[in-house]
Amino acid sequence: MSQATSSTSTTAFGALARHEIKSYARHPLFIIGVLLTALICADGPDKASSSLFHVIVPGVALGVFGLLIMAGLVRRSDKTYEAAGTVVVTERTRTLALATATVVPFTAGLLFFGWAVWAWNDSPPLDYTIPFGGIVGDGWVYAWLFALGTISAVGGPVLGLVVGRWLHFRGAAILVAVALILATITMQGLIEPLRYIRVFMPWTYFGGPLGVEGDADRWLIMTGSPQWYCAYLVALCGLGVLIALLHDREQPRAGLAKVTAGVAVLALALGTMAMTTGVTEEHVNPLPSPNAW
Amino acid sequence: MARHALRAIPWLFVGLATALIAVLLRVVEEWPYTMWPLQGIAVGLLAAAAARLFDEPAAMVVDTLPRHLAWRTAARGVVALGLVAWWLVVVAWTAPAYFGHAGDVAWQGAAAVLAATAYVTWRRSAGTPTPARAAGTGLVGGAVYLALARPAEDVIVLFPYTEGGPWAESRQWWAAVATVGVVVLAVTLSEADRRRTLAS
Repeated sequence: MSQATSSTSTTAFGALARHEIKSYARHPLFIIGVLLTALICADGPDKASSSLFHVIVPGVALGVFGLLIMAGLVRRSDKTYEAAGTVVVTERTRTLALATATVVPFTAGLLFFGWAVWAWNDSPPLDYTIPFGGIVGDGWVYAWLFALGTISAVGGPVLGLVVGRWLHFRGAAILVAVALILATITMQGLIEPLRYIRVFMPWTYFGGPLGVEGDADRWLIMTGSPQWYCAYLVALCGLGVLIALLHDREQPRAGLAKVTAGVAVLALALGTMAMTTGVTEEHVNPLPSPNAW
Repeated sequence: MARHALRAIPWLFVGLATALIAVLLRVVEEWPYTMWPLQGIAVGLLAAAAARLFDEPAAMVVDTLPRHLAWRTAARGVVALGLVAWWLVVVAWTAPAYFGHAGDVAWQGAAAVLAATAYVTWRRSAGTPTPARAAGTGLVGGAVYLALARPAEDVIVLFPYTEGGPWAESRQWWAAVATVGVVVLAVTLSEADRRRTLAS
């Protein structure tokens, strides 16, 4: 009986995953997000900072929108399940199928990354921006673009999966999305005392026109390693999926809880690496910003 | 009406949204130049909260009862007015954040609530039970995008900032939003009333 259930569940997973992938790809908000991202790419890189700060668009249009999309897909999946009556597909299988659908925004994020890398090399940033002085290399730039433009496209939907599974009141996804933005925006390095620990947020810059005394728009490179930050974000995504899977009370949870705890510790370690390695002290561009001239 | 509103409204969401709006605007007051996008996001959240007031998950039953759409809209509209009042209080409390344009920011919230109310009432009259699910997502998503990414900010002047921002132009945008809201709401309610009269 158990073997039959397992076999049915495996078959169902493939069908469900395909269904959720199609649902995600056809969701109006995803299509709008892709169009907005495509529009910013079509507009071309910034004359001063190239494509570095274009990551805000996929961050919002694929990541934050993805959170809202995925929470809605979870609700729809639950409704379909309830309407179907007694079926052998477990909540865990449905959650995994939903998690598989993140391949859709990830693909869109990858396309953005390809454009951003091309744009960076085609139209390098001006000397008064970042990077400067050989402090960081291309890997730093590519990790920045990948973390904020591509992994964020998966991180948002994964958070939506967690919200959809654990928070069942009306409008929960909207509140979480706004709270996430509130937390994230305060950890962009704009507030100096929070600058060092900011990498624990799932979306943060590693430099920008943060200013110094006498030049409010002077460009800085902040501390931290975007490469380790990528690893930290991947661990966070894994952690999110595990937390969503843990919601199924009808399956044994002890083993999964241990794995979740292990991944949480790993994420903490990777976050600490992202904070303490790479650029270890803040660097100020010796060239003043145009506004200071 | 009060009993209807008490039972029909998602109070947990509305309560958390109002609290979050206060936090957002308080943060803007603390760091107005850097945290400014949160002001636009607060407007989107306020509109989404207002939209949610008018959802009717049990529409299949409720729409057949004697209490018609205008009556139910009025009952819930009182809470929408409460949301606007809350917005005005919080904007007044955080007034130094808005570069001398607290009145404009207050107007943005009131116009957004009016437009959201009009849209969901229209969809409700067309038979959609919970239009605010999609509308709330769209409102917050749109506000987040406009506030953070600021696309074509010289053209779409919804959330200006700093003393020299295009506040007068923004006022016209929000006036247009409010006007469309009033017209849609009036037409929807009068049409629903006409249909009810014909049916009876």
